[in-house]
Amino acid sequence: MEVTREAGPSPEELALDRELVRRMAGGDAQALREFYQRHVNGVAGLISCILRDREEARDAVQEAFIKVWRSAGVYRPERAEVMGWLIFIARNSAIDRLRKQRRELARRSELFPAEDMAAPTDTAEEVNLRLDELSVSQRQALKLAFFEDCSQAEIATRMQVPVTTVKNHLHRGLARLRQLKGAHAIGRGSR
Amino acid sequence: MQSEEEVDSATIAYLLDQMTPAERLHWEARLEGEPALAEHQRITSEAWAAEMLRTAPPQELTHSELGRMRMMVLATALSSEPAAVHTRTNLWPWVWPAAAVLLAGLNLAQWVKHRPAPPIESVAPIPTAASERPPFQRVIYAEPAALRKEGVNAAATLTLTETITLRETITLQPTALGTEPASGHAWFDTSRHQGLLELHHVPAPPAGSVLVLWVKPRNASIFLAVGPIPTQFYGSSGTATYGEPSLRQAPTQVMITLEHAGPAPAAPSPAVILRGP
Repeated sequence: MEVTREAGPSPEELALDRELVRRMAGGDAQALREFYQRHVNGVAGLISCILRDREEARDAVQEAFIKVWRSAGVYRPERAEVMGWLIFIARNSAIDRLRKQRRELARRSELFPAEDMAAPTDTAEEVNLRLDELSVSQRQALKLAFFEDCSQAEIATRMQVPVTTVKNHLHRGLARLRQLKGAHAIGRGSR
Repeated sequence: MQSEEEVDSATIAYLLDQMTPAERLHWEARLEGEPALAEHQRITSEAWAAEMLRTAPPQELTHSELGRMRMMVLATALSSEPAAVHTRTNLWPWVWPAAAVLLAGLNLAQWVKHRPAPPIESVAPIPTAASERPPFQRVIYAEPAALRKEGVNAAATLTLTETITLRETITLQPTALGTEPASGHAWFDTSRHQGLLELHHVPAPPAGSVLVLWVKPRNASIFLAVGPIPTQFYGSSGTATYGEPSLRQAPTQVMITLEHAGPAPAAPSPAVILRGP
């Protein structure tokens, strides 16, 4: 199967994102409006993979953009492109809510053992066909860490492999992604 | 010397917010002093984020959802300033690990003390100079065409909400005066005692007239005049924050009326442009 990778954001788009963040750092709310409009669909899609409840997901999206506004002044371009910075802010906003939900669930059901989390679905696997440059295990480890906030030990339990193997999967998976990034400009930019 | 695998483990923990504050501070000190490590993290975060974004099917949000969420973001953002712009420091590399150790020590001391925090008994005070300031603190001006492009003209109601959530809403009925019906949203941030208005297609009043914002506080039977709507809104759309010294909670009603220019009116005229609920 031929693997096609979407073209990444153009230099103009990258420059526009940086400019919007710079303007937000100066308190320009119109820049926040434009930034929101450019990226809200992508962020909403990502967050809805973490939080199943639509209302919770919507709140997390809002929270992510508010965090972007509040931390625009400390954004460091040498450490992350704007899209990477935004995606991890969004992911961590959603995960904060997921952690709270889990604590609440644990508190409410102390009498019952924790329910096993569902493995990635077939549908999700289909969506990821373009990721077949990574092995299934590497992909699964990276997704469990990113979308389900699993520690390395939890990933090991879920995948039924030793922790050292998980570390290896994560490292090799990221190394492969970095390598691919060198060969292709990846990233979706605004949708 | 860390192996590449260990560096990746630390990078993952940093990006996924799984580090303790002390670990985070220490890692940031390393990023500060090791450009190659910072570059490694930059590429890792970008590549990983892009791939995870690819796996997430795009979520189609309705125009109404997009507009409401955008207003929520703006409402909260307008009531808080962004963080100060980062400036590179010239601190010696050892200062950061020392700070990490100090922070860890403080955390430990806090844990040892383990005293419950006293209950909060008071609310944030209203700024003392509030009554001296003009009612509208900040105005963002936007052309209706730009707003239409963003899909917000689908909203035909003005919504009044307390504490910046969408859980509790009161619908305001627009009344037509211009060619397009006026619409918008009104929010109230109880923690800051600050209201926010986002208005669309505000009609331009006739010469000698102004549009005035009125609010009815809780437990009050009369409307209070907040002040004239900024002229930038006339014939257009925009966002503004406002303050009214008597307002500590979200008003029960909000209204915009057409009034004669001049001294502040004592009571609203019957020419209502927007009102609610």
